[in-house]
Amino acid sequence: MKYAAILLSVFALFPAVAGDVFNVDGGHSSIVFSVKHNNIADFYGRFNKVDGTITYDAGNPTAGSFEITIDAGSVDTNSDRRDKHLRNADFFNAVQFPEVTFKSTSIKQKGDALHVTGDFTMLGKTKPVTFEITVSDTAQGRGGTTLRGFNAKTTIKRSEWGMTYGIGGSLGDEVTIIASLEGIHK
Amino acid sequence: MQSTEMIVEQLFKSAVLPVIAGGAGAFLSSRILPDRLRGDGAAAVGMLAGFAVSFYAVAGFGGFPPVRVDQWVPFLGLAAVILFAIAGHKNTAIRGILHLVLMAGVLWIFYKPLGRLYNTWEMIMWIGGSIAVWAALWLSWEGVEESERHKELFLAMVVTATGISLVSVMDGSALIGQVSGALAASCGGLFLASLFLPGLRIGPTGAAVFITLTVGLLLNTYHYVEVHAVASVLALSAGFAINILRLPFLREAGLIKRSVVVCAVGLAPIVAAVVFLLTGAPPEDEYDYGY
Repeated sequence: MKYAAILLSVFALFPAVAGDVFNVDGGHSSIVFSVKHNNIADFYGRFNKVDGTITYDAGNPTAGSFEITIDAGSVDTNSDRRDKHLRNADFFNAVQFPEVTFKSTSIKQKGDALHVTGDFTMLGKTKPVTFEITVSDTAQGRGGTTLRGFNAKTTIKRSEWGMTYGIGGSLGDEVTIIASLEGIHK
Repeated sequence: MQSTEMIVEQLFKSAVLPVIAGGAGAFLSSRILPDRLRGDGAAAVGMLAGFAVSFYAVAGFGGFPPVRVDQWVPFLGLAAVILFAIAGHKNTAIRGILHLVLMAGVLWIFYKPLGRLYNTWEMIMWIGGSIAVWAALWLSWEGVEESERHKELFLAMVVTATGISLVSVMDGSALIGQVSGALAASCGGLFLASLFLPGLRIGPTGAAVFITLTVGLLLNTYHYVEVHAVASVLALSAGFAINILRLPFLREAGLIKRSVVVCAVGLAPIVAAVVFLLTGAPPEDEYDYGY
């Protein structure tokens, strides 16, 4: 009885994460962002390097977890000069803060979508963000691997992380992030 | 807000505001500070006041301790003012120790996040090079004889900081360019104030604040903004133009002649850096910094 109580205490220290574990396939995943320019058009950019691990149980989706890491220095907007500007202190400060990360803390099911709340860390600041995520069925990849797609979307205010360049001028504060992640079953 | 209005607002924050704050800071501190600090100390306080007010107007106050390395620069300048106001007047050995303390702080803050980018030998090379640059700047700015500390030194500072500002803006960061421009404008404010305050001058305290701010901004410009190495070195070299004033034929020259010479010598590498960046920029890339 005593040992059972100790075991229960130990398990209680860890969050209940269960399900299949997927590694994010950086070669077939996309992280795209958009921001208003001159308050008229949405300007899109992307990050070329993304990594992460997703735990997902189709039978109990709220028990999973999402841990995503984006290489801030891989920002790509089809202009070398703009990319360099985005990498430095005015925006992502990628030398000092090389990664943008998201780590889920809770998941709720709303209709067909998951509302995944977690810690979003950028420029050394961590704040809660909720992504709306839809999950695909599985497919077979090369070599018989099992694949699953996760399509996530959220909108943040970049100023909350201290990224204020251009706000009040030609660049918007709100940034929409779209992540289309292909997971390979471990 | 229209782009033109935004540019005007940013110009006010980084060019007009530091002139006013720098001049006013020097004027007020020359009234308040004890006699021994009224010339040099007032210039140092004015320089920092103009720079810091503009820095926070442009970049915002990020709290303390700062998260971003560039946000440390005003605090490092404040440390320089305090250390040199307390003990910087004593002797060269003590000033050397104070410079070592400031340099250690600057290098720790700017090189600590770079550990993952450089191996041990590269890091030793970078830190060693930075120490050599700091020492050379110190010898240059303190090497000017007391009797020759005239108003043209403020102009030499304006030219040096303008160089850092230009290469930053042209090769990466509007923010670092603006705050470097703020340092230039603040020194410009000191020059204007010196026309009304004859005792205002650059001595060990003003030199220490200027070197601390300049090295901090330069390290940021090269390592974090990724300004091209050639342009960075050319911008740095403007900081040594002051040594031209040691030439015998300039020692007896008047303010205008000394000002023209030191500014021309300082501007030469900056013009070279601008030409280098202009000719190296890809012509098809018409990015306008979001404006």
